[in-house]
Amino acid sequence: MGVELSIVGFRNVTHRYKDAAALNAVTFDIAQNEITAIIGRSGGGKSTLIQIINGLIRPTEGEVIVYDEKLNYSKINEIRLKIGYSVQGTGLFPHMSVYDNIALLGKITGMIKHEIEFRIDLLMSFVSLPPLYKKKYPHELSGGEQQRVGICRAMLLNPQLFLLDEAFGALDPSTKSEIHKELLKLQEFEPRTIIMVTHDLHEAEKIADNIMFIENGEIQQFDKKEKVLNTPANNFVKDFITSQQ
Amino acid sequence: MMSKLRNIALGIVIILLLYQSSFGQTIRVGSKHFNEGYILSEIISQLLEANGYKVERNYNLGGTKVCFDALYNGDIDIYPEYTGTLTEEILKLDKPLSFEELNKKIKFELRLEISDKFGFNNTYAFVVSKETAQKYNLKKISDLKNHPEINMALSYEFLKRKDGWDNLASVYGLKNKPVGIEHGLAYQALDDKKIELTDAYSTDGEIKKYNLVTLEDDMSFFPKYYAVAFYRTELESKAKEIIAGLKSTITEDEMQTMNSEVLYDNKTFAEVANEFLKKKNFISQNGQLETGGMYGEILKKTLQHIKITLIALLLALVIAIPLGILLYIYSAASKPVLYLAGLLQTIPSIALLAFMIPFFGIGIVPAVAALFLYALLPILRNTATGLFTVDPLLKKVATGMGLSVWQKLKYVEIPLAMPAIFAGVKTAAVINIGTATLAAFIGAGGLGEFIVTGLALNNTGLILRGAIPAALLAILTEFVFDLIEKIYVPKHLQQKLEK
Repeated sequence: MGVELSIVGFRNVTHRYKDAAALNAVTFDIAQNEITAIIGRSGGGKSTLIQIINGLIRPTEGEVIVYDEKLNYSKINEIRLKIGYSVQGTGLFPHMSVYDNIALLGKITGMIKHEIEFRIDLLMSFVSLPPLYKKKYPHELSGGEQQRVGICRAMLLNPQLFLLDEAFGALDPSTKSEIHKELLKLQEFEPRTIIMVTHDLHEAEKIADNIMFIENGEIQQFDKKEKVLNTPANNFVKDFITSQQ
Repeated sequence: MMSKLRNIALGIVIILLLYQSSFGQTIRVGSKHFNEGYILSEIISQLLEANGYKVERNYNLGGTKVCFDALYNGDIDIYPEYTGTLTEEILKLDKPLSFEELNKKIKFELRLEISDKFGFNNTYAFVVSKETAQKYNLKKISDLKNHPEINMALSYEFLKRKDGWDNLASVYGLKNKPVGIEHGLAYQALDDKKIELTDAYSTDGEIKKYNLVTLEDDMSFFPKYYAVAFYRTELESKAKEIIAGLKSTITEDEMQTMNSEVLYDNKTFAEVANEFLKKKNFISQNGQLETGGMYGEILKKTLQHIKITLIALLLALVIAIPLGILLYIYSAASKPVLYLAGLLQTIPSIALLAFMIPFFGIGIVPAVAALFLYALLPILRNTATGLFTVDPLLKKVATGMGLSVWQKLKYVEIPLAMPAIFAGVKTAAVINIGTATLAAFIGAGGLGEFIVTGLALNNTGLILRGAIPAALLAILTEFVFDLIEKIYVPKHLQQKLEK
């Protein structure tokens, strides 16, 4: 088993739910330190794909490469600690304050307290959260603020890979665009590989470098953003683009 | 320094030993759950105390089986019993023995002993009102033969016993069709003319009170029920001698009077026993009966009650919460285990308490064991359900972040299941406070003692003396738990639970 040089790579990955295939022999490599948007209609297989990357779903067939190595499910928790993960509805823990939510992985991995505090202050300033918010509980925040806390939590250990599963799906357009700006600012400061699942073409257009279009469990097109938008590979892609314009 | 401390400790131990020995052996006196049993036990207890013994009173021990098992297993040292019961129920013999043969057989087969007869014979008797006696011209049981129409209601025990109705009917050739009735209600039913005849104990105080006629057992069907003290062979011989002093001191009439005094003159068992011992010159005429006073008693029993409940609850917490967590992790086992725990819950409390006696004897231990079993289910179920119902998105996120199974439990799932776990503990605590009142039946003490004694005496005041503090305790428990929850669980999570 040789080392494969790929931050995230799929080799003939197939996943079936009972008899329906959610992913069908998918193969790709993700470009390092770039933002890749996985786009397509609901039920097309995008959510399955992103959860295969951090091992929440174990594929029926094929090989998954993360951080240049074949995904080792017996050490999956260690690998997950190196992957930032943020979902729609934020998944903030309601019984923990903002500070405790963000600090959790630091506590678990044995980071020292002032290091955690320093990192939290930095991250919160990037996403424009006032320091006073640290003591608040998630339910006291707006949807946009909760999502920002979710980003800070995922970024605490400075992972080189960040997965966003429809993370901004429920936000209103203006909040969404503010968070997009903050995310790009953070990306400039500490670049990392970001994979985001979205059904919103404008979001992909705005922040992604690359777009992967998935439909019927297969990749219809995967290329630089401009290429996908200007020269759709087939009618699936074309129809999706026109439907959102 | 160390040796000085050791000397002091040694001194204290010696003083304690001397103190203890000056009072003699502690004798544990038991009693069945009925008035005459209480009075006789109290006579034995006070007589022993007057002679320098320390006495531990384990009254309210239910029926013959509970008392006998307790004596046999060494949980009590002595209790009053009847020769008929010894023959029929304990030795299960078909024919009555002479007193000497009976004593021998008890020594040989059970390795226990009985004292000489106290005097009276408290056997079964058939009683009717004066009017009924006149109406049918009844004097003897055999007179009933010509009156199959007489409306009989017999105690359930009498209907079932070997020396009960079936045999009596065949010996006397009776064709009546008796119905069952709770003995405590039979006198009232007779007085209200709802029934015409019932079985009674020949020393029942009610016979006097209701002016009833006892039918003569002209064919000597009923076995003799002479009261004796039933005790362990290991009892100090000096104590046995003291008990032997009660030989032939209580007549049937005196026993009837004592029974009627506790029922109708509002005297306590202790007072009646005390007056008897004074009258017979067993204790000095001017000796004062020590009583703790009503409020002292209530406080003492409330503390006992809290103690039993709390120990059982803590044990249940220690077992049920980890078990609930395991059920969540190994969810395949959750259904059968919760089902089993649910099954335990359906066992009637009294049955469960009685079931504990062969394993744990009598007193606090079996009561705690039974209460522990009752507390298990609510805590177990709420812990498992609380964990199962944590928002699946949060579980997914926690896993996706890289938390191990245990970290996920510790930081996310258990804290979020806390309100549910808390509710389970609260339910268990309240159930336990209620059920603990029944623990008095197996000698565990607590507020139930008032209730059990009150039921025996048909004394509502006494019942309330146990029931009101128990109810207050349950309310207080709810309140305390709500308070702890308020402090412990973040406010917004409490509100979520209420919705």
